[in-house]
Amino acid sequence: MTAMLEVRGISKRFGGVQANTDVGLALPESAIRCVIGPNGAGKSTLVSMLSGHVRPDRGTIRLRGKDITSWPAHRVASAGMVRKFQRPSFYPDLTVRQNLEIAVLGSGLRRRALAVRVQEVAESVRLGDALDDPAAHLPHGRTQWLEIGLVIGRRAQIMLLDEPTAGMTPGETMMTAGLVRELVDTQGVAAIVVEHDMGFVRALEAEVTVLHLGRVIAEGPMSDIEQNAQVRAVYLGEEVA
Amino acid sequence: MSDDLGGTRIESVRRHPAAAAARRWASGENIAASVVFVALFYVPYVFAGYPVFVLPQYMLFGILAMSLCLLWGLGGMVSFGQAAFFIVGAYSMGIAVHDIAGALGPWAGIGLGVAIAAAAAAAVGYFLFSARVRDSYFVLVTLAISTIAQVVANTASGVTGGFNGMFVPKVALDLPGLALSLQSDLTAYYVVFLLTLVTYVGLRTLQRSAFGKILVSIRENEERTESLGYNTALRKTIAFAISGGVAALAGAFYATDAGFVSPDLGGVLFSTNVVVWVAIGGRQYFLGAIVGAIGISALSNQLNAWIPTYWQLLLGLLFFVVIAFFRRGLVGTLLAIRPSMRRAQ
Amino acid sequence: MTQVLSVALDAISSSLVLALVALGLAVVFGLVRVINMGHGAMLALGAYITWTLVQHGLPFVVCVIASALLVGVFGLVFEIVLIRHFYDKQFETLLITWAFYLVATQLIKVFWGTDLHSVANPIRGTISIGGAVIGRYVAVVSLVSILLFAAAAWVMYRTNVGIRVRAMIQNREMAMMLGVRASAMYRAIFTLGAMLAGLAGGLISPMFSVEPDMGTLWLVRSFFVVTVGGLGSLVGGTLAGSALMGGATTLVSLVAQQVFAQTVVFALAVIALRFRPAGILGKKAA
Repeated sequence: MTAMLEVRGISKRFGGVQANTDVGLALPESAIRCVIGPNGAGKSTLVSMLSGHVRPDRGTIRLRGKDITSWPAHRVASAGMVRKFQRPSFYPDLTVRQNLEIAVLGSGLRRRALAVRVQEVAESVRLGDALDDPAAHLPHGRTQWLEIGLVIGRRAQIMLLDEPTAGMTPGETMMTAGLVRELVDTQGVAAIVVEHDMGFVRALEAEVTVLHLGRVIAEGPMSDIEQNAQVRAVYLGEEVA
Repeated sequence: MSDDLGGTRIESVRRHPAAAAARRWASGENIAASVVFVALFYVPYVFAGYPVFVLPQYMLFGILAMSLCLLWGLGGMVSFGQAAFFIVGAYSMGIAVHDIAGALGPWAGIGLGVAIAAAAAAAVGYFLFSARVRDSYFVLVTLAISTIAQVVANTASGVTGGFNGMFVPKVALDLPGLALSLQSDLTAYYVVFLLTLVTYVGLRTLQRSAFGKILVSIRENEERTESLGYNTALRKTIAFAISGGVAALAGAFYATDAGFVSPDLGGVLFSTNVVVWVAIGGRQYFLGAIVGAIGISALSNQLNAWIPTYWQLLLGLLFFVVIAFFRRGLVGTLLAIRPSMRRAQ
Repeated sequence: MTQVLSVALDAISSSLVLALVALGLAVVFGLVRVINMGHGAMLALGAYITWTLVQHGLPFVVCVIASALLVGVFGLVFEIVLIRHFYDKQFETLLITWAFYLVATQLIKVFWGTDLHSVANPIRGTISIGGAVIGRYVAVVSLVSILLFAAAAWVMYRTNVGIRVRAMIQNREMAMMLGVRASAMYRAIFTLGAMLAGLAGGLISPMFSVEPDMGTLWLVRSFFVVTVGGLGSLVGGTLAGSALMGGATTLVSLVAQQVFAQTVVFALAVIALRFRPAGILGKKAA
């Protein structure tokens, strides 16, 4: 089976800092991949390269066989790989409905079909009851869902979720894991999730890629990763133990 | 920087169960617009002479103000360069109906003016937006555009008449089966009235379209919109081009209606006036732009004769107050009063 | 040879005058990130105050210093009443300072009328350098400009105040935690910017005609100086920007009219802005 997303040997250097070295990754259709690693491991740079916000110095990124390495962010997103940023990024002064409309408009729907689709997306991210609230009034956890809603609304085939549970309560974190799992299972999207929260990563039951100092040091199911001596040494030893 | 999505005010949404309020909002603006346009329509029935002669010029200023409103209210880009596009339209009209160019005729003047202004705006816009030049830097560039336009208008005296300005005759617009001579004040009035109405309705339609909504989202958070797959630089460029074209359209009609074009019409000070009209009228509303432009121009006309310096001072202070404390402007503030009145009833 | 020298002198002196005018804007823009659209009006105000005091027979130097102080007071009041509430909203401050420009220009018209005025040249005569001739007064103003920039560099890089200011630009929150009083510092910097504008207005008043809108063109030119030079380095950026703007204007003036040269240089500056949004001395990341 060929991978939906195939990343080969991408590297990026910022001034004197080597953020990523020779990172590779293959994501099958409708799969979840978690990217973990200690601070400064190069997780965010990897996401930025995938989303087109940062151009790799070397290597290629292929989406369904198409080389998208040098595409600008808006083209990558319209090709189906849509990013949720680490810091909050939505339209706080617009209502939830208007927020989602912006995302859905990209699919060319108008009027009735648009409204129906917005409703669908809102319900799929548990915001069906808040459509006419200003986004700024949502509690923090729900703004994260709104942002996932924006990604879904854009008909993402691959969701790039950069720390989707940052600042959430443990309960919200688990609900978010359920939400991501459900979206992947029911809507057939794939997801790349950058996370710190190990409970969340376990709950997703997905393949894990571990980054350390910009390199991939391990890859596999979470249960294997947790046994990996190198990973334990650089990372899990500090955070999970 | 703002709390409105086009015509849909958010704060009302905060107070009310929103959907109903939002719908009422939109219609509130439409009712207000209807009142304004009906009033403008009946002006020649009530007044004769000077008001009928001068109001078309103010309505054209209203169109110019709407061109800024599209950029500022929807797209969040303030331009201090709208006068430059206005004067491109004005000179195009002037040159096209003068003998020097073999009298191309008024339609060619309008078409050329709009096309040149839109193309120039598109070129400058894409050049800058694609490199992420925005906000304050964009303002700086538009300031430079005004300055350049005025200098060129002054210097290229062979074409523009330089400091002495250019006289433009009142043209007749040939339509199939109909010739509208603007020499009649009444005809000119209704031609310009219709133009204003059509521009207003057109821009409101644009505001409600997918393009308009995405433009608003760019104002609110450009990075997010771009990451949702929209080429924001391209959309901003299109908005700037439309804005330039609309400004030139107003300029072309202004040239023949007022009969005279001077280089000052392209300069920084006139551009500033446009910003003042829109800010005081209400930057979020095309209606605010029209009301601001007509209202302030009419007041200026009256008060400039009476207390010239103090009026300008007053206007400056008013601009101050609006920018610092009433960012919605006149129309925005008035429309905001309405739901509380409804509630009181 | 003499002609080349003369053009060079011309370019250098006009760059230094431009740098002098732009310094106040650069200080406020670079240090507290406020785009002071009122800078041009402050400049005009300084020129008018100098003109008035000269009419009353005061020595020119006293007039210029008084201009700086008085315009500084205007700036201080403006900061206290309005600007301080808007520091975190760069775009609003742009519009508010533009409103200041409108009001100040009208106040000038109310107090002084709209007639052109001129201030008598306080230092007449010319000096000759290698055959090239330059006005004594222009030379003195250029020198003042050099001294001001030297002083600015000294304050920024050799004093405690400079360290605090630079710390605040780098990381406002951290600086505040370390005891830098940001609000007082912002106020002082804005006032200083206004004073510098008043000083420059007074100093250039004998060289240009004094009229209410005299600041507008200077505002646009100063703006380009600051953006072309880059916000990051106050002294170097402003000098480099002025040298480019002033030098280019002088050079283009050799083949075209002065006003047209100005236009060409603006167009070039827009292009520079596009390719180096952070200024020629700035880092690429804007």
